[in-house]
Order: sequence, then structure tokens, then C-alpha cells
Amino acid sequence: MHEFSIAEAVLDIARSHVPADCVLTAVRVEAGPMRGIEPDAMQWAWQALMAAEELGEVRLDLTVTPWRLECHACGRVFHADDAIATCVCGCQAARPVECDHLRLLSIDIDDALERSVCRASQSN
Amino acid sequence: MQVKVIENVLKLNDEVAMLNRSTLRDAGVFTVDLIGGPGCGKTSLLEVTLRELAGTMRIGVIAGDLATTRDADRLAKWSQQVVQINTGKGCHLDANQVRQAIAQLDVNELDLLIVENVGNLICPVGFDLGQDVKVGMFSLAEGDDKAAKHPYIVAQSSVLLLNKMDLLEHVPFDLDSFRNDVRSLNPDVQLLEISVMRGDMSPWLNWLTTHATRRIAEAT
Repeated sequence: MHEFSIAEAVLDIARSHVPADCVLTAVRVEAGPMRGIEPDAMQWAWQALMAAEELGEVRLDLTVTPWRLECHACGRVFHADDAIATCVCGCQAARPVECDHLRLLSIDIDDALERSVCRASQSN
Repeated sequence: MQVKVIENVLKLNDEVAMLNRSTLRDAGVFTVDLIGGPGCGKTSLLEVTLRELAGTMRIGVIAGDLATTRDADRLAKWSQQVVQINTGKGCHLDANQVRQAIAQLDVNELDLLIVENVGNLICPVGFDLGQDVKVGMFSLAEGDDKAAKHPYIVAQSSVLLLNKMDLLEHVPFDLDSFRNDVRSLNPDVQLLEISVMRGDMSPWLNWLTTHATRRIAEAT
């Protein structure tokens, strides 16, 4: 199940962007459909990794983008539910384009100042 | 607070893959990442490939499996440069594992390196190992819808092998449907229909020889 390898890679990249004294609280990942990432399996892998790394609650927001296909006959680029689909021109041959990206878009962090303000407001 | 990142998740793997690619190209080695499901015939293909080409070029193999050294043991009869990687629970090889395996080979004594990836049509495709080309392998026994169900390997491969053509009379396999799915997903890929069992492998051996020979010529 490659979702676990991908979860580890996401965490490595995310950690490299977390400043000192800050805590990672969420990651946003976007994947093309060709990557074959199963969202439920990805969430399971992420939770297992968070438990293994003792990182607590770090939310994973995963977006799998739709298939983008380019018609062989007319060149039209269209969205589809599957990798093999029929173009409106009638051609049944269309190749996937830009469907294999895998990007960490952003992370959420709590910094030490935010945490101390939060603790102060909770104790009042 | 949100911090914008926008980075390739597999950036660290890809950096090591670039190192692998550089090491192998500097040594004049043509490298193939062979990807296919369990039982499609990858190791058998390599046994015959090594046997047929051993006299004309120096071939090494990195064999990836969850467990056992059976693949490496089979191939060691034909080449002294065979390394087995056992991934444990890992369903694919990554660039780091291949880098460690490359360190066990004498790449200056190789013309061709074939990485036999873990038997899996999905997970290995997305990981760059530093190869020159990916070669996808299907077999008739898996069914004629497998190209459509595994678009990533079809789209990423330079060559697709359809093995076990000797079974065509015996299993329900719509060859035209399979070919159409392949053409739709990747019109540029070379589809080679072979039978390792019968020894009908000349298209594959010719393709491999041509590309390895070209790399040898570039290096000299």
C-alpha cells in the first residue's frame, strides 16, 4: 500500500517547513488521479504515522483532482470520471494529461505565541 | 497560521533518483525499471533475457521482493552482478533502496541494468528510481481489461510487454480491446506481444539491444 510511503514523504516535506517552536497541525495535499491514491487508505496511513511519530492530531486534507483527458482526434481537453472516456466529438481515444502530480500545497502551524495566548484564554 | 509550500511530495526520493541516474549514465549503463503484477513473468523474462544476451553485453539485475532471495538465486545462474532487495512490507522500490543496491554492483562493468520491481502494477509506478525507461508488463492470464484499470503504468511506460501470448487460444482475452485501451492511454508506447514460455521474445531482445548499444556508443 503506497499510501504509507506517501504519508511519510508528506510528513518529511511538511516538517522541513515548520519553524522552531511551532507545531504542525494540518497538511494539505493535492494528488492527480493517476497516482491511484485511495482517500480512505491515505487517511488511515496518515493516522497510523501520526501515532507512530507521537505527533497527536495533525489533520490531512487530501484532494484528488479529476481526470483531464486530451482527445487524440480534436485536441479538446476535458474532465472525465475515468481514464478512458469518449470525447464529445465521438472519438474514443483520449490520453491523460497532467494527472500524476502529487504536491504538498500548504501546512498549518501553531506557533508558541498562539499556544500561550490560547492557554491564557482557557485559564481565564 | 497557514504556510504555503507547493512542493513535490516525492522531492527527496526524486533527488536520490537523479543521483542514481547520473551514476549510471556516467558509467554508460542503460537502465530499465521493469514493473508488472505478481506472476506476469518478470523473472522468467529476465532469465531468458540474460541467457540470450549474456554473450553480447554485460547485464546486471536488481531484484525487488517483499521476501526471499528466490528471484536473485534464479538469475545468478546467468549474471554475477545480481542484488536482491527485500522490502519487508514495502510494495515498491524507492530510489534510496536502489542507490544502496547500486553500491553493491560494479557499474563500470555493466552495459545494461534491469531493476525488477516488486510485483505490483500500481505502487511502483510513481517512484522514480533513476532509470532511463519504465517497462510495464501484463500477461494474458490477467485479463484484457488490465490496461484500462492501470492507466498509470501504461501512460508512464516506453515499452509495454504483453506476455503469455501462447494462452491466446485458451483464455477469453479480447486482444483488440486491450490494444485500443493501450493506444488511448499512451499512443506513443511500443506494445510488444511475447511469449516467454515459447521463447517468442525477439521484439523485446531487439529493443533492449538497440537501446543498450546506443548508450554504450554514447559513453565511448
